[in-house]
Amino acid sequence: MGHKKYSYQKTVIMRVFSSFLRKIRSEHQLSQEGLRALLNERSHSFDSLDTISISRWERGINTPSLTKQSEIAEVFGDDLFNIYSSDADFVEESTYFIQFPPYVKSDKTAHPYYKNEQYHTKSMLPDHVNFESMLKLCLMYEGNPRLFPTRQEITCAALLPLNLVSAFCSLKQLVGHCLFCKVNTKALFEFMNCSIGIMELLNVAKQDRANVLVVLSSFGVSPQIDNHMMSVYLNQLATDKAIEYLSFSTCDNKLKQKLMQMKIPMFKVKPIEYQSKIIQNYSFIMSRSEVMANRNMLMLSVIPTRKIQPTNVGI
Amino acid sequence: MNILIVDDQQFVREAIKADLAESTFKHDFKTFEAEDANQGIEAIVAAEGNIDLLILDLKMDNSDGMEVINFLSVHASYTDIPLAVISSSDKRTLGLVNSIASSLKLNVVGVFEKPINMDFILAETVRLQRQNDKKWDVESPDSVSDYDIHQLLDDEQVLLCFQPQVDMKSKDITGFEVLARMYDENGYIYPDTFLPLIDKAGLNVDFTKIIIAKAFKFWAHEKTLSSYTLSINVTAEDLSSDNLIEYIIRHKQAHANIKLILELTESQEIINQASVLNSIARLIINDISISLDDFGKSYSTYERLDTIPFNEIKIDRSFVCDIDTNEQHHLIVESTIALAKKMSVSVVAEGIETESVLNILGELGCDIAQGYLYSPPIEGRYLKAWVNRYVHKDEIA
Repeated sequence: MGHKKYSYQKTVIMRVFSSFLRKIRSEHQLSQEGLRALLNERSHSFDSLDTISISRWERGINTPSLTKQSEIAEVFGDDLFNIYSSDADFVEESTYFIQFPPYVKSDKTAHPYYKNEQYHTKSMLPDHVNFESMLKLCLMYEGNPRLFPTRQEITCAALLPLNLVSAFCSLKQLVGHCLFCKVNTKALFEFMNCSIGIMELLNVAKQDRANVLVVLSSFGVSPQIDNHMMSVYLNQLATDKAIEYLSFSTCDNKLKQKLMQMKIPMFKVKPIEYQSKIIQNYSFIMSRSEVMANRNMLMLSVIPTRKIQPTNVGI
Repeated sequence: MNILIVDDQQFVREAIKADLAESTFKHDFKTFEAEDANQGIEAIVAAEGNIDLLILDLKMDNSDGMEVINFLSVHASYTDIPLAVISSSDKRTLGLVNSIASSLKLNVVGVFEKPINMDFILAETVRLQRQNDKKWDVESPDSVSDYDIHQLLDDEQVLLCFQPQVDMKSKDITGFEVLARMYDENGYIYPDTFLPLIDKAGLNVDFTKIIIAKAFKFWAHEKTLSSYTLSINVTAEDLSSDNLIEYIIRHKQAHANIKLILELTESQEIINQASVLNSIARLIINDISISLDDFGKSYSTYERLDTIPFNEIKIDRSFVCDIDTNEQHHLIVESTIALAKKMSVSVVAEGIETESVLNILGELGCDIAQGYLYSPPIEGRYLKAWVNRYVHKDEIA
């Protein structure tokens, strides 16, 4: 089903954008020519724009790329996330990415012990009683020697900026996770270049104003859960306007491939020597506008996974 | 499980077999041996690629492991064979082989220094195979070649980003390099993807024209930016087009106040053709500066430096980004800066990401700094805000 969804028809996107366009034009009392002139004046992306195109956009015959849509939205002080996340149909369409189809046929891609049953997710902060054990499981999967190489006395205060979201199936088995935190770009580039370690990165995150959300691990046993995990941090990024960039720092080949398939350019590969073998550490960074102009990412970001509140019971 | 061991030393092969026999992995290992590259290739063919792990020695008596690696890479049916390279070569060579094998898209388990730990290699193989067996979920809507580059260019689905260049001493912004992005309904498309397509379609000159036109329009419109230099990439091939040279000169004449720098990127060897040199002379006469981009990456750079009166050289990011940890790169950058100083050419270092790299460049006397440390490429519509923030950053602090 993941397949079908990604070869998705543009109809909903077209409808959302056309109604947005009609709305702002009437709110600002602009004719189609007035809108054309305004866009032309504000941005060079609309040098060759004519009123025929605007009319087609409004009637939903055609639609500009998300990149252009976002420029138009910004001219009117709005952004793509606001526009698309407030459209129920679009959110519903997007939600298919993380839900299982009502019927399940025998599927070659099925996980050995996980049979597409329902799952639930749980968000944890470092002061949660199970945080450390869940983090250990997540690190074991990720296999990134740069994440907490020494297990000596890490206080939960030191881990504070970390967010861990885990997905469980009904057997209480862990079927997905994501680990991320908000830091600033300066510290992040030091980290990507191995000039500082994870503890220093987290320490900086506590002091300085964060402007980048960095994902350290992200995984799900099925495409749906994998997408769900991704939607968690994309939604966080989308709703926290102070965050200018999205970044990934991972040794997980599977996540790397998924990002490359989503057409995210790799920023850096850094070989790390660990126990006499070489492990590749992959880094990605993209701006908020790049994230929002990426259709797959926009769709995942509008799923309201922020409703999963951190649970901190049992302390 | 079939394991093929290609190593010229019998005792190494015996040691591996002994390790396998005692391995904690409970498996029925069937081993095959070969003592040079040719035998190894024969064994792979004989087994019809039905090999679960290929252990390959890099340096053998009368052949080397690279022959086998090259063989695997050109036979699609063999590229999936899990490959473990073993060697007593130094770490740099091992790193090189690893990157070659990965770039050839071979199924590399790893490159291991002798003496090897067989259990460890097995564990890595199992991990790798498990990763590979997992099917792919999010598939790309279209493969690279599906982009209709003609259509994208016709629609001018091109976006300009700008990366700042900063004076190392005063910390003032000196200018910006224009970096192009294309886009379609799925998102951004990056130069790694679109440049080869443009090249293949023979649209290089058309593309450069679009960039020149857009960049000039933007710079002419944003008066606050006019004091900054505007650097645009051109290839040697671009310079052999008279039509493009005319186009650039016309734009420059219409906007004499725009400080245009053309960054000549590495490409073909045609740089020394009379027509290209002629173009460069015309550009210089028209007050357009020429910068030698990616300095150090190509074998012909010194020759170019000798023939063309460049105003500036840009040291390639691959040398700059790790000068704090890579002694060789440090030496290359140091001597490049020294050379530039002697020739009175200004030096720009690209790819600065960390404070320590910046500090070293400062000590070496580099003039201008560019890199993510200052900012990732900034989309045109956010550029003014960025400049404002940068210029006033001290007031906030």
